[in-house]
Amino acid sequence: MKDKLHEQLSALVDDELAEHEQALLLKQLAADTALQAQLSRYQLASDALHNHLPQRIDPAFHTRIQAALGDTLPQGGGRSGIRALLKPAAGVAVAASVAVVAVLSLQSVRDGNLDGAPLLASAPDAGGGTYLRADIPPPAPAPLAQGLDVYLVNHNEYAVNRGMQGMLPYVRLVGQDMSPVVRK
Amino acid sequence: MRLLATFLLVAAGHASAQDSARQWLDEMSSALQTLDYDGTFVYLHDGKLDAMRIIHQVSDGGQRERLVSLTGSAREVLRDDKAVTCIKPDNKSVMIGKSRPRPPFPVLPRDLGKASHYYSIEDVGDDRMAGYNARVIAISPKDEFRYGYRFWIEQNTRMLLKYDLSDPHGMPIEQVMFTRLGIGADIPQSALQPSLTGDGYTWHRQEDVRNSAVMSPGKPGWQVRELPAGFTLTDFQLKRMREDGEAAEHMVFSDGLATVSVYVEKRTHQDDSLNGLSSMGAMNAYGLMLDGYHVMVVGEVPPATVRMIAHSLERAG
Repeated sequence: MKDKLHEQLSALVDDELAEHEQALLLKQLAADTALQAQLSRYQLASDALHNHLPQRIDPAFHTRIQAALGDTLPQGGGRSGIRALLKPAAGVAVAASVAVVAVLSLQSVRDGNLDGAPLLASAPDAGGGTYLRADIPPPAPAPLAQGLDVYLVNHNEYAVNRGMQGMLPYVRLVGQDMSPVVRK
Repeated sequence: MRLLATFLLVAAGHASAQDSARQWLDEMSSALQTLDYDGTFVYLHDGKLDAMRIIHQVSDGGQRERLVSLTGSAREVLRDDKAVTCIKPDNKSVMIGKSRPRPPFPVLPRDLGKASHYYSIEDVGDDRMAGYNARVIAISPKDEFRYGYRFWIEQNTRMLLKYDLSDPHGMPIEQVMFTRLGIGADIPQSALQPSLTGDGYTWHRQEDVRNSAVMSPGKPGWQVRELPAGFTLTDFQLKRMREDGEAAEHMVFSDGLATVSVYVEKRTHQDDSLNGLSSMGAMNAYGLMLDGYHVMVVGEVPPATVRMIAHSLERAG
């Protein structure tokens, strides 16, 4: 069931969802904040893949989806409101399906679970997700991650020189939510 | 006789395919260091997705690089031939390390020759990626102590377009995929400047330690009893990891592809804060206390490898 919903969300972002499915999906979106967050993640993935990420995204994007749903549904479930939101938020809305498939495949093999919503970004689900270069201060990182940084920076210099991926070992330092999982 | 000839032909073809795959990897490594490029990519790890921009420029002054996050906090890493600067707005810190000079030409032919004992290297064929024609090269580990890689390489410039990193059983762990890439781009100097000044941040600097009275350079005071096959000591240094800390012994081991660092640092007090296994995508770290020293093993290798190395550390005889 969730897979079906995710497919519909992806199709909505791709502008490929059949008219008769749009009305039902929008109703479900209006009632489900997790689904709204999922939609904004799909849009983020789509824009990342197609280089439509701006320097900043309005942190209230998620809330605006809710507002748009409120505006749209009484008028018969049309999608003009949500489409209008998706486009100016992060450029031209284009196929998210590639990113979704990639993330699903990565997550499914790591977690052995396709039922849960694939997490495409580290931002919180509710309260105005701050996906991009946020003005809102992010949560403080774990002290453990800070302690490890000195080793990672130093080690990366050796990996950079010997490995084949150039600067890419530093991707892990720049990436978000890199607080390590400690297993004693 | 015909059977032997067939076998020799097949063997020759296999060797030729391996050589071709190595050539692609060699040229990709060179392209990453010698081309100017400006690209945006997504980084998938642990079921999450981050978007980043990388800018790389080569001039008479050497290589300059800037890697900046486009999602979440605006973390940045800047690198030139002298220093690596890591800016983390989320904890208001700036870390500066000394960069290691890169060889003018990649060292891969020699290292890949060594690596082929422990990895299978295969030319998988053609694909399309980010609007470019790509050649796919796969590297599969032959044991459980290292990771596998799959590279999508642009066919004209040999630039890396995408890579997957998977565990010894082929399960994906990380993926980097360019969504926009300008190769040979005209890069303005402003694009290589940090977007943050670091004012009000805490600054950390790492130092090499020279003329130590404790031990002579080039001779580690510790040794690893159990190393996975193929890993050999490639570097040794004394390094002060923190401004107020003791000098740490830093040993680097490599199997030709993967690299593992071992840090051994004297501690005046028991410090369990970094003990145990920490995992960040494909990077694993394992820490423990040993006879008043803190041991930290870090590498782009499976957890079993860093754990085994940490637990087999002992004083050199």
